[in-house]
Amino acid sequence: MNISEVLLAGASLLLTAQSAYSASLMLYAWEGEVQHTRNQAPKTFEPPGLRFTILLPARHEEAVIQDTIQRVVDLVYPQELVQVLIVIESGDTSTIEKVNQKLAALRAQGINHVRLITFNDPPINKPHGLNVGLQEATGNIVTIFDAEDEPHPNILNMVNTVMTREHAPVVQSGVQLMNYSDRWFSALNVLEYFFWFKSRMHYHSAIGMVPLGGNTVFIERALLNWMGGWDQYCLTEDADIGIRLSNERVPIRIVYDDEYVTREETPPTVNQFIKQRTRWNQGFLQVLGKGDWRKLPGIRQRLLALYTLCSPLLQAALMIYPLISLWMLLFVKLPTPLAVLTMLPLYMLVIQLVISLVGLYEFTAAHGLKPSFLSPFWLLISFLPYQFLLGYAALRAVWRQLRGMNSWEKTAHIGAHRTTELTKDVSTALPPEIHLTNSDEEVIRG
Amino acid sequence: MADSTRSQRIPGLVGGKAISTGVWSSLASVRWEALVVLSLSIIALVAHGFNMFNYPAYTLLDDEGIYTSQAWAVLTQHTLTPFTFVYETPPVGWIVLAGWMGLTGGLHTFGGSIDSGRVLMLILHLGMVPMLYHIARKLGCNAPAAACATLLFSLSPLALFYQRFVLVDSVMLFLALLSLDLLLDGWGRLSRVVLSGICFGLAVLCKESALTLLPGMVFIAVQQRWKHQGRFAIIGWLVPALIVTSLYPLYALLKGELFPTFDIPLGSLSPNRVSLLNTFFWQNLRDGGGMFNYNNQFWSLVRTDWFGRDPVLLAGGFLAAVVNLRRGFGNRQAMAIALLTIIPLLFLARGGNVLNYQILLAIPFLGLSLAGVFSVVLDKLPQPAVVASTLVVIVAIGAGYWFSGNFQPLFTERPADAGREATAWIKENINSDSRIITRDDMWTDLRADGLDGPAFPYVYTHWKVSSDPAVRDAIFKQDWHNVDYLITSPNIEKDFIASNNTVALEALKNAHLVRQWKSDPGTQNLHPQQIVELWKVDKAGPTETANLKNSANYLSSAFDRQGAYAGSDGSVNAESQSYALLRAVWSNDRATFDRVWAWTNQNMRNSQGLLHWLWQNQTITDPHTASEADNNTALALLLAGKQWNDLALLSTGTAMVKVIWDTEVVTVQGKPYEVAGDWAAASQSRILAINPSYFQPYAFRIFMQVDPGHDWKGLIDAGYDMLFNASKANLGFAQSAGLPPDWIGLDRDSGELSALQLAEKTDTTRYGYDAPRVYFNIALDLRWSGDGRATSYLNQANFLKDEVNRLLQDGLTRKGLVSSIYKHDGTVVEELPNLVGSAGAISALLTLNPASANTIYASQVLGQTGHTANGLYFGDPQDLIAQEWGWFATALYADKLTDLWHNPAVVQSVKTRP
Repeated sequence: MNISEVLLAGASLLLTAQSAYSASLMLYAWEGEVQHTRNQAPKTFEPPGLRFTILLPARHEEAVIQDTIQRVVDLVYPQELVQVLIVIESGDTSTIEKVNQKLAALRAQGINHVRLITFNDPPINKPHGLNVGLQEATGNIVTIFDAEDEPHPNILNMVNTVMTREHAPVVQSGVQLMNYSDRWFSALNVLEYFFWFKSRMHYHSAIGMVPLGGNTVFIERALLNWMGGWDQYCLTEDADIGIRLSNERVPIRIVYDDEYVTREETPPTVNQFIKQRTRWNQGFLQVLGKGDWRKLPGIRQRLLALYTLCSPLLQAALMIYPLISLWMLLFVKLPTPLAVLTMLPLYMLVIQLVISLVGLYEFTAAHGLKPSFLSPFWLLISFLPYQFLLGYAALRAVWRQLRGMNSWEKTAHIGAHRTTELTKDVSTALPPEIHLTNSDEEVIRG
Repeated sequence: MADSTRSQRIPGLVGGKAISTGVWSSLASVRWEALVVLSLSIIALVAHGFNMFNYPAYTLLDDEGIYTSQAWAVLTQHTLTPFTFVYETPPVGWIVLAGWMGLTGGLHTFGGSIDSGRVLMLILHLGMVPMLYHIARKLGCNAPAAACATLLFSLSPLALFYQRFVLVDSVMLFLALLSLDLLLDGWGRLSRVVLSGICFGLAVLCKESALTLLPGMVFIAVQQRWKHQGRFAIIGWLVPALIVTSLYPLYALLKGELFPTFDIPLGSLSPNRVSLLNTFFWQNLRDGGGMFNYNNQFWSLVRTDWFGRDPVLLAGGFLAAVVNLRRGFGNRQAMAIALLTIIPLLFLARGGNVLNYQILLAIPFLGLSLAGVFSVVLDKLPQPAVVASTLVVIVAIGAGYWFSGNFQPLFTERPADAGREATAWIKENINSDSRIITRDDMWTDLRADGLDGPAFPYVYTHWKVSSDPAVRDAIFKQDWHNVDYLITSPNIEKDFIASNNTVALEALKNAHLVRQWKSDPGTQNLHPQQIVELWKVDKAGPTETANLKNSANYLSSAFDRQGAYAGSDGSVNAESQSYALLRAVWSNDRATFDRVWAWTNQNMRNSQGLLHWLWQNQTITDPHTASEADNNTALALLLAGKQWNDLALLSTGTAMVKVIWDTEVVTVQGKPYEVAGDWAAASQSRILAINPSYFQPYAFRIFMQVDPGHDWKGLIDAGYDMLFNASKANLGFAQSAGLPPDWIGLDRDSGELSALQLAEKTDTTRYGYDAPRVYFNIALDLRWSGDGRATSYLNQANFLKDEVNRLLQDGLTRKGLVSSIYKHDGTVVEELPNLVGSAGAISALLTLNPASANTIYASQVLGQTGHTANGLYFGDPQDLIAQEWGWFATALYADKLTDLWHNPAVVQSVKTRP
């Protein structure tokens, strides 16, 4: 074997191992009865006891913010135990105006537990907004909803019950994209959320290393204050705080009960999908670079963190690998065993496809949806292009991260404004930098 | 929830009941059952392991050797098979074997390579014991019944016999049982289901017959799904199994060997390209008469082999499977057992090609079926009767095994000895450059380095010689002359004929038996006696070249003392010195020649330049000469002078020749005769002592050229006449056998020949330790001069030919050799052969009857070799004469005794080779 063959064999084995591991994480929720029951929400509720502060960071959400506020107000929980803080950068006057209209209407109905907070110091992004909100928070428990979220009306009762019964300081409840048949990539995007929140998060929780989600996450306020709040310079502050909590051995309870998930929607265009992914990937790489994960208590946690945070790199490699292996297969005479070996990652891709197909039916059944008979075929057709999208976004993130590595200051800056490129699920809370003039900003709004 | 009504596990198959109240829930019973499993494992260890290297013989089944050779190829050549991979069996089984060998430090950690494989089989069996027990328990058997199933699996003579063989079927079974055990996890863990699927796929990649377990496995996978597994339950088993299995066709596809290739015109299968599908269909679509044909291979094996070894397991297990099938309509566990048992049996009985060891596939499940039924019976008994009934059944079956006599040979007989000894001998004594056609079972140990011997790179199994173009055409070129040896067993010709192996058949026709190894006959109906034979093809090859060199090395190290070749009493005689000189010349070994000549020249030459007969304790103890030693010494000096261009040697030799004539030649009735020595020439007696074996016409023809002043030609003529007459003469016996006598008397006056009276010799007329050399001398003269008298003299050796081919008392075996001493009339004096006699017989018979010569060479020269660190010896390593004549016989046989006087150039070129 020459050096290129050894490299190819090593790459094949590595990718196969990672795919197998990834598949096992996807299927973790179906592993056994313990995992199955652990996912379920409690059947009965404890009487309300905990005080919640709901943070609602928003940015250019004039279209939806009033509905969002209404939905949060409608949550079934005693109003005296809920504080809602809408956090907006003071330059976003149109959204502020809508919020003020809504607040006035609510006060007219005698509803007074909702407040607007504005801020005007940089960086202008979601974590900064969250930190501003945290300073004003009075509840025992702080949680976050995004502007387009549809939380379950009973979510606070459910979380109150879990936290009270289990003395859980942190609860992450499931977030689920729902519009699986809207766009060609929707089904696969929806399934990613499905497998992530229903399955993989539990594995992370069991190991004790949880990159938290961006919303429907409930954390004790005291704990948040002690942690110093969110990292304002991080693109994925949610994953970052999860790892920092794990560093402190704080147990994180995951609940993915199909009924209680917070419903969201997939990005409306491919462009936005890629930008969302780019940010997530870059955020992971950032968290990787920050190195907090090295302080995790055990080797298992550290390895899992490394694996999770490196996933953009793996994804990028997964993108390049088929090209190299195909080229070797066609133009270099490979020994047959090696040729078989180079095929293994492709086999794993088939397994991912099968899991996705089965997952589609698990998802639709769980949410009482009836998939069209064409859905599986769409999934089949879109599977490879979707992998291509993921790979492209990963490559893009790696490339951008490398480019921005020249100086941390500059990256921080870029990081701050790059958030403006992001898709609506989280980035909507983030204002654009003044000097950013490209057309990306329009796309974000969707 | 939408799926709340779906995929409920069917109660009865590893239900919650088993978990909550089953055996594993209480610690006490865990300990109790763990003890049972431990005891079963110990019984299995002893039953399987004791005597497993000796019984059955690894020469009994080709497949053991085939899989071992393939493991060797994986390990050392990094290919799937040593020769072309033809998709007969998927490769995972022997890859596992190779991994085992790699982990345990090579092929020979436990003895032979097959022994190493047998240790792996033992370990796999020990792994299967607890698995089978668990499976039986999880499929509804109670503990006593599960223990009985496991006992049958480990103790049945049928199981023991076949499970000890190194077969990929056992690796397959291990993986299949592991798959089953994982699937019956008891907790419904999805990861176990996936692993189970992977294991099943690997089992199929060991042996396709695992597919016959698929219906049973799928049935269990379907019955076994748990609610929490959702829609991943069955898919989680099927997809991994399918994906792993598909690696095999993928391999073929990537190699371009999946689909059959067609010749033009389309439609006829090209024979020279292998393809997976081709092989698969060939294996599985061969007609064997159908399932209900009583004479198909399955029923014939049942009658002649399987049933006889263990009727309880075979017939009882089958009946139990039928009962389970009937029960299965109300009981899914029974149905699972029935499917797992009956479908493999149906597959074996389908009427296709079935091999005896394929029953392995069914053995654990036959036991499982019996346990299933036994468990039902036990459940109906009151508690105290359960233990008693179980013990009674175990004792009854055990006693049955014992009294049938099928059991004991597994632990006492040693049929593997024949093959083991054969391998050891061949490794030690056959040149490793030889091209050997062998049986499969010995291939790996010969091909691989180790077992105190070298690797034989040119060893091929006869199947490959017949069917693999890369061997048949490229290496043997379809010509038996390219074969040096065959390693066979008595019935192997059938296989040669069946596979149309013309190379092996022709080679065997032109070969002679070197050695035969036989195991003790043992219990023949259970295990046929093992006979391994080594045949040498009738031509000299690399073995002879190597043997000459190694024999000379041995002679040097064992006998050479600064140039003196001393016998065991320390005495040095002229003959041995002259032989050493000749060997050195013919071996082109100048250093030895110079050393021997220097010592001889200094210590043994008399005043005239000839050699004193005997030197001992730093002094000459017999000053007379023996003309043969002088002839040889002069010849050696002349050949050496010519070959190495040494004028001094030439002139010494020439001078010696003249002295020989002057002191050892006597003229009788005008004809010159060389008498036995200076003492004979100087004797006053009327009868001159002549030793016919001192007549060396090939030497005299060269003496003639360096000494033209004397009538050497006349001496040759007179010598031939003497030889013919002495052999023909009755010499006091009623008749002559035509053999030359050791000695003969020549009347100085009349020239008449008569039996010679010698003081120390009782019967000088016999064909003893001297006379065989006559044939050697004449054979060499024939080669060098082509003299017609040589041919006709050799053609008179009918007595020797008849001796070799004489039927022994059993009326079947032929004598195959020549005894060492005969009276002049042919009566045997000393029955046992020696190397001088064999050398003489070979010399004579190579002309008269080459087959007989080859017979003797193979068994009495080559077959008598042995090795030490210092080289090779013939017969008794202490016997100098045996070594000398082993060397001369081999050299004559291999035609290495070149006439360097007339053809020195040949040797010059040899000399320049590195």
